[in-house]
Amino acid sequence: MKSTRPLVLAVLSVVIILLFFSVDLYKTWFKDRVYGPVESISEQLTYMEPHERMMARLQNSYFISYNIAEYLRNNKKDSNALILLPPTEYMRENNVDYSVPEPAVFYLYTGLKSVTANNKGAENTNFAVIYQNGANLQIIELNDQNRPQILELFRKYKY
Amino acid sequence: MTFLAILVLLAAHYVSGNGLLHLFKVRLKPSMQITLSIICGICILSLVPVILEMAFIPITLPAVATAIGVVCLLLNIPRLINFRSEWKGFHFQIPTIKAYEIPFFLLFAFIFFSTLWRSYYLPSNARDMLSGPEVLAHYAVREHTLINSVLSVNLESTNNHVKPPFILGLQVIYKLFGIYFGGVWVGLLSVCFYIFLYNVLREKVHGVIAGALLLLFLALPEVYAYSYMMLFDYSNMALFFAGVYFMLRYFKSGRQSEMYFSALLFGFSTLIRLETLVLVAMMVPLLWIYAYQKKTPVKTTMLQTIALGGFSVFFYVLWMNIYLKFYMPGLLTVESQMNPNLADLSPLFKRFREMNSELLFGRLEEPLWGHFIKVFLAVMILDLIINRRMSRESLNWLYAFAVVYFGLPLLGYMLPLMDLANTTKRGLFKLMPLALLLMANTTLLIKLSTRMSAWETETEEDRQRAATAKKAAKQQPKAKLAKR
Repeated sequence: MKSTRPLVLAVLSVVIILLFFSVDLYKTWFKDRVYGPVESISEQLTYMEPHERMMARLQNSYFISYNIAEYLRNNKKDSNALILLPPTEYMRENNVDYSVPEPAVFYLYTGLKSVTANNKGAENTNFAVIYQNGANLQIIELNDQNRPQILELFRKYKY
Repeated sequence: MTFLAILVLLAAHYVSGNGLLHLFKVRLKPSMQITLSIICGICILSLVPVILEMAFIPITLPAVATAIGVVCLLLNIPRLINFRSEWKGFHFQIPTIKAYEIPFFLLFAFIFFSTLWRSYYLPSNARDMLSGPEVLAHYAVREHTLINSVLSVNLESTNNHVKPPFILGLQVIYKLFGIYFGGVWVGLLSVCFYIFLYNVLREKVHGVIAGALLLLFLALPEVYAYSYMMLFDYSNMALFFAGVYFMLRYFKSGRQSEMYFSALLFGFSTLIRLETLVLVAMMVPLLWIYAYQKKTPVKTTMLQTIALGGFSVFFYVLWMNIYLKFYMPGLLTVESQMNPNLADLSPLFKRFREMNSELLFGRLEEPLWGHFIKVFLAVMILDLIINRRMSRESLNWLYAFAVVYFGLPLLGYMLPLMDLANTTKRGLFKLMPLALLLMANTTLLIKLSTRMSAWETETEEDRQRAATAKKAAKQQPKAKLAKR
């Protein structure tokens, strides 16, 4: 007759697992990091396009950057665009939920080049993203008159 | 189509990695051989795009696929030559699973499924990736070169574009094969590592204990997050651990090929994070101690030392002194990264103190490591109290543990860009599997395992025999008394 002892040990394994997940920290870990993501797979399967997945994961940092590029493309202003990126702190102060990506990441999201106010070449930027009351965010064309003011404004904040 | 691409790449990782293992005459049980082959294959293929770039070959799907095929073929030439004898010696072993392993395996399978799905579905959101390997790979696929338009973007805020080519290479390959966010290799590598680690534990302790220990390791909150999130540190941990494992395996078996294989694995871990070179150098005295004790010929020890440092130095030089110097000149120099005032040791002690007080034992302990450190300390202290000694193997694991524990603050002091909150924190991943093996090597858990195994395999006959022997032992003094 085969020994039943491995089965007794199997019960012990189950008990160990149950005891392990009775600890709050591990119960929460399993729920949030393992079970939760598996549970949301059925919903995720309806959003398989890369753009949708990036929006879900990277949120406004990607979404707003993407829309800035779309606006410039739709208005055929994207070919030589060098965008002056606002500081995240400036956005936060104006209650805009936009974690501004750094130029390399902005390039990944949009294919457009950009700089921050403290970078080399900030004096050559031809577009800027600013907050305007009521309109939330606005893309403005920069010229020698308004660029220094915007640069001065952005340089007050930490990037 | 995506699934097929993943299968093709998985097969390529396995074939190239398994070829490498055979070159080093490494023979393990199937579950270890397969998983370690895939891990090694991931490291090998990561170099393909860089090698193509260095040969000025445009990075296109046909070029990369051909190069992968050539790498697989080259690494398997000795096996192909000896195909007949290899095939004769081949016998497929169906893995046996014990009943008590099933509950753990079901749980692990569920966790692995979650890991693999997330590594496939989610785009990377780590800043270190987005501003470095990810953006470079994205445009490499479009522009067929690693030296692409990203380098014309303002990169003042980052140095991630000059980080080693491990992730960059893999992202390029996976994206070229149609997997939009790449990333799947992270899940494959971590799942293979967990399976490999379980088998390493199983060499020491009973299945129930091995299952419990792996569960404790899997549920390390911070480490688990990087099992599906693309970054250097998880892979670095896996390869460093494998390097230590094969070094200690060599100490037991005396097979030189295992020592050289260990050196290669340490080399791969340096390929992933270049500063690992310092930790590898700190492993050299352990090899010397072993050589001294075993009276290994000086020539052999010298060769092993050169190999141990050599693979790591090779990968370091390949990236820093060849690729960055000649293909992307002026972007990074080691001098610019080094602490200019090494005579002042206060940053070293500060980093060591902060690593302990904030990351390992402070307020971040539970969010980062769960209860792992408490369990580890409890097992080690209990073992020392009860058994009052450590085995030779435990001491070797302890040495590797100490290398990481003291090496990380040292690196933070030498390279100020290695900050506490990110680089040192993630560097601590390397401590965790070493701590796990330290626990598995305690006399406490080994004795418990032996008793569990003996109890498990004891048959009715054994029990009867034991009862008879016990009875006889009791009666013996009575018989002696009667004789007198």
